[in-house]
Amino acid sequence: MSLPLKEMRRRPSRFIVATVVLSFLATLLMFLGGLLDGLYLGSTGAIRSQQGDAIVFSSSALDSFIRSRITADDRAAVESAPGVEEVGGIGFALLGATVPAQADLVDVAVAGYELPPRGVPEPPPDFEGIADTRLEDQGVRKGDTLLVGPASVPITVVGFVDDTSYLLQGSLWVNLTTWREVQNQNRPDAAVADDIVQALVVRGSGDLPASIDAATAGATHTLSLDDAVLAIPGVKQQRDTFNQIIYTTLFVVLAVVGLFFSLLTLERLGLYGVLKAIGASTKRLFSGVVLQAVFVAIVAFVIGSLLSIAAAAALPVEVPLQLTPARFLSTFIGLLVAAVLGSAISLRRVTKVDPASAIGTAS
Amino acid sequence: MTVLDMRDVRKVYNSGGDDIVALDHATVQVDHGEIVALLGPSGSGKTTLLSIAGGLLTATEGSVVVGGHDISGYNAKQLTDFRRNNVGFVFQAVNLVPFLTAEENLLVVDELGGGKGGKQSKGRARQLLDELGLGHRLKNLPAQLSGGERQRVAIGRALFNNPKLVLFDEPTSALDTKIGEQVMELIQAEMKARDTAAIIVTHDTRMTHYADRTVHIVDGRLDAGSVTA
Repeated sequence: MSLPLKEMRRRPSRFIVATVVLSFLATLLMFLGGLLDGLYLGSTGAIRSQQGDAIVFSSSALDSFIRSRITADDRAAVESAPGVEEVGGIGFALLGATVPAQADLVDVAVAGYELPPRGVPEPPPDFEGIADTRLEDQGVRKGDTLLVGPASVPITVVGFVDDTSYLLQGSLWVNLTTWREVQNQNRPDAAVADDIVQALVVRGSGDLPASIDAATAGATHTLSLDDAVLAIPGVKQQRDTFNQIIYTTLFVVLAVVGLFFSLLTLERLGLYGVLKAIGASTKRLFSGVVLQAVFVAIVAFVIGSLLSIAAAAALPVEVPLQLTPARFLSTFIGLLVAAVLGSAISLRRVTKVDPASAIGTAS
Repeated sequence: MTVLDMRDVRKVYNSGGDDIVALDHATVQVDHGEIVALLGPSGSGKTTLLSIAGGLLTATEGSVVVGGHDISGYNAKQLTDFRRNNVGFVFQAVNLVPFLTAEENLLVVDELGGGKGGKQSKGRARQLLDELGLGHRLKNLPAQLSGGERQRVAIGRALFNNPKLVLFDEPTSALDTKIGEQVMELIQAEMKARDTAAIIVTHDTRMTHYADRTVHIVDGRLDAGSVTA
């Protein structure tokens, strides 16, 4: 075992404060990241799961499904655009639904579709739907008939699909006829005709946004699937806000590591002088500091992971905390980078240690 | 055969624009197995001489040859390698690594040289400590050792790499007279047994009789007896 690790094993108390502080910061990082992921995945699943290359909105809708209306003429123009191979209508209605044997309403996003999203079968018969597992978590079971909206439109759940929620509401995937029925009975002020959809999912190749919007003479505004995901209200703002907090927390990690190991280095100047005098290089001493910082970061990551997993298990299902392997990995990498950069603050001090300082005051 | 050959060595420090001569044309030679006591008042330059001989400082002028290595022009990295492989140090304040056992304090030298503290290294560390009368203290931390025992561990560390030259910086200053004499006897015996050259900086004239020769230094100048034939 190397010198730095021996020191950590023999004098653990010297590293406890930094480990505890970093563990809390690691927990915070994973908690924030988990919330961001939960919000992002819960808001965007219905769009991310689309097996298409572009989403077409009406040009006046400002990329909002609720505001968008695509007419039959626009759809025909889209279908004739260069590069377009397949087109399917899509529409959402955000409503409350009554679940059998439950007093409280559950929020549902009734989603009418033609081209099946990932994991969703071909559109079911009228008034049947495939529910997102988020609804299952809220007590919906296969065979239940949900009464949707104030008009209590009945839709029977015939199956479940994972990761397709929309704006943190469990989706209920139905055919377009059922979706129109739900929309028109519950929102007569925003009724849609039989040939109208909110948006189109397009499969094809080439520069689809440009070719489609040109083909409809500007009646549409087409986004790539990724852009359509970010256009969902609040998603980009949430992501940017959480990322700012996460980056700030990482900076705090860096500052904590930097401060702690600076103080530790300051305490060790005499020892470093002796070790340099008997043949230790600056590189070896500094790599020892980095090794200790990385070790503290790894321990903090493990503790933080366990704490955040415990927190996720203890929180109610309504809290959109989702801990993903990618989040664990990115937090781990973030902690390691912050630990290395933080410990690098000590490099100058280690470099300046004069080996002659070990022997009297000659220097 | 000469182990240390310092010729016409000057060391000049610049302080506030003024040149301060710490060592002034010092010439000294030390042979294999020879123990030289370096005696002088505070500020006389004895620590500077010891530091230059050990490659801790570079001379402003003159040549320094240790064990056949002319270190006068070595850069910092070369000096680090040189110190690790050719010189042993015993410091005034002992300066053992506080969280390592007596045995591990010797193995540090091996680790700094890229060794893994294998069987052979451990065997050597144990043998050295046994010879120094610390065979029963292998697993003790410095805090669990007496002042004399700590100094003996420091001597073991200095000898671990079979250096050609060992430099002692006031090795008895922190010890009482009796223990100090025991340590000096030990130093004398170990240096002679290994035919290793040594310079011992001291201000205690009672300790000089353990040396083969005493060199006086005043204001950076060595006395005439410092050059051997």
